[in-house]
Amino acid sequence: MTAGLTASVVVLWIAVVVLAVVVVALARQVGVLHERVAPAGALLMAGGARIGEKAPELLLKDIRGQDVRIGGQRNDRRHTLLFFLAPSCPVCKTLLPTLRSARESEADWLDIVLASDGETQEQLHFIEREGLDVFPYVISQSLGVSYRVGKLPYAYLVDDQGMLRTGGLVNSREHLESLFNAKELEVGSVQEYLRREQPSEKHVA
Amino acid sequence: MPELDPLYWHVVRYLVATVFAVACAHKLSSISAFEAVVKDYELLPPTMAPLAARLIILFEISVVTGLASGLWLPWAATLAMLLLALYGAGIGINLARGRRDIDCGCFGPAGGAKKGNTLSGWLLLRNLSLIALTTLLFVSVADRSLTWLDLLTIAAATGAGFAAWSAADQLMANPSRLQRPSP
Repeated sequence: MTAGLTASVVVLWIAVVVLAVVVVALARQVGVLHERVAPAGALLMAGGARIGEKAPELLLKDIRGQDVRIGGQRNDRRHTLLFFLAPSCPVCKTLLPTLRSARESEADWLDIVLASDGETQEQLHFIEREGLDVFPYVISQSLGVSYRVGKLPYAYLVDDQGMLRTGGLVNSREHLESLFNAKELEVGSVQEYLRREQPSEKHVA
Repeated sequence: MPELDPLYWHVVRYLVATVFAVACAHKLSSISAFEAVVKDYELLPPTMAPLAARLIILFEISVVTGLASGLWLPWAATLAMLLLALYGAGIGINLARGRRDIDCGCFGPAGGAKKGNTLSGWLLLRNLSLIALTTLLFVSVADRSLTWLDLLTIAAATGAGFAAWSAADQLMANPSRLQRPSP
């Protein structure tokens, strides 16, 4: 019995040490991946509204009939994230939790406006189903046309001066967050960032 | 008062010694980097940083030799706790100042001479847990002779404990490795 217990303790210790080493190796691998991941960015599509220029200014009504002003100078120094989505777009749905958390985490400087077009009834169902009533929700074809949105989900960041700071096709949480990074770093798009970085590229192998 | 089995005592002793030894070795391998870290904490006049850095390294060497040899063990354990409390205070003060982005200078297994961890509340928790662990060295220990199985347990538990420490260190350092585009 004692011999058996002894052997089992020895075997268990070997297993614990091996597993501990594996955990360290995995944590290091995660670290390497962190280093290799280039900052994901929203892709600016050709034909979209011009970044760095004045954003198209529109006064619209949201689905509840409240006024929503897009673009133009704002005195409260707040930025607006204009997020184009549609009930029929599955990728848009995956980004809704990120939008909700961004609404809280970026609350001190950012308003989020959801924009869509199509049948109102369908949109209302969508808002109810996804719990989007905390956002201003604008249904307007002219908005999508004036910002030249061709693909969804698309987002623009309009600053307090009414300028288009950044924007692009956002397919993931990282893309959406990159818009906020882009604002902090004053980079218009992932293309611009990569162009800037190229001379001093420093990937650690 | 119940006495602590010597097994626990030895594991704690060697684990704390290993943690300090690795941190100290990293600091020794790049003293200038460590000086910069001390300066960056902005707790001392910048001219004092080189002296403070060397003193800290000296203290850490004393901790390691004291714990490993067992000669001045209570002193070494006390010094270890004081150092950890000092680091904790430095981190706490800078967190309170809102300076999260400075290098913590922990020189842990993940950081090395490279820029490692930035400051976070996790580091405080880490230091507190190590201080709590070190207090075990002041508990009276039962008198029993160690068998080969005890020695294996001490070695393996120390190794596994240090590996867990390294993994935690690495995981804390990982977020700051994400390529934050530099403005």
